[in-house]
Amino acid sequence: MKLNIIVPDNLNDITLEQYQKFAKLNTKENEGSAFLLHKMIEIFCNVNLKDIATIKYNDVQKIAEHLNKIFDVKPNLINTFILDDIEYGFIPQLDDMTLGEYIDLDNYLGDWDNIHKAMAVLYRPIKNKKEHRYQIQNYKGTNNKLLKMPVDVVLGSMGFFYNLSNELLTTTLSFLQDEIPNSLTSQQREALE
Amino acid sequence: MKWGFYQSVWGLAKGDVTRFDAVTKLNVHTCLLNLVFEKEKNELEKRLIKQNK
Repeated sequence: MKLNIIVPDNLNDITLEQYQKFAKLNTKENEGSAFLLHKMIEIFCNVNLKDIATIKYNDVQKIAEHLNKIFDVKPNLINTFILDDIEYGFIPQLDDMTLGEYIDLDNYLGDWDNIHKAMAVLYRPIKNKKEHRYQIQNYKGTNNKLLKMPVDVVLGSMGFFYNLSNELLTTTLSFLQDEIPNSLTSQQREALE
Repeated sequence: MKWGFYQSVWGLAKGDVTRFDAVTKLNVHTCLLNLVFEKEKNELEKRLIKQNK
């Protein structure tokens, strides 16, 4: 039997929805199992699970190795992307975020099942654009269309927040190291030394 | 925590459920600053009450 498989070239070819399905199965229990290997190919290459049994084991291994290599890439923040003819832009001014946006982002950013809800806060349709500057639409809540967004955009934005929080932690720590000694009494300073 | 951000929104809207939507549209920095102020004010008042007992 001839079977045509389209293997994703990079993270941009994988949708958030596909990654969410895989993330649910990628547990410690399933780690390294043939089941996970087959599901990985089923999800990312859109092949029926029963058809994977007809592929040579060597080829299955090669596809899995290729997919694993794809996930080794750490994408940078992607500011804009196009999905279904709509251009989406990353929130241009984090400082201008509303409380509602912040709450939804905080609730959903670490939760893979609902991460598209966090993405709906971060990426919204662009309403005006001039060169590299743009304005995005107001936040209207969850946008399920974003389940089809490329996963490199998602991972890039998560990496951005990871790096940002690390930088802020370092800055806060060095600020406190400089400031705290000045605010301590001589007795407190002696106790610490 | 069971109530999470609900209690922050509740506090900022002074318990008025009809104002919840308006509160979520306010700038996050404004809201967080207000919450910290409210918290420190309550702590100070609690300390003063204890001292005066």
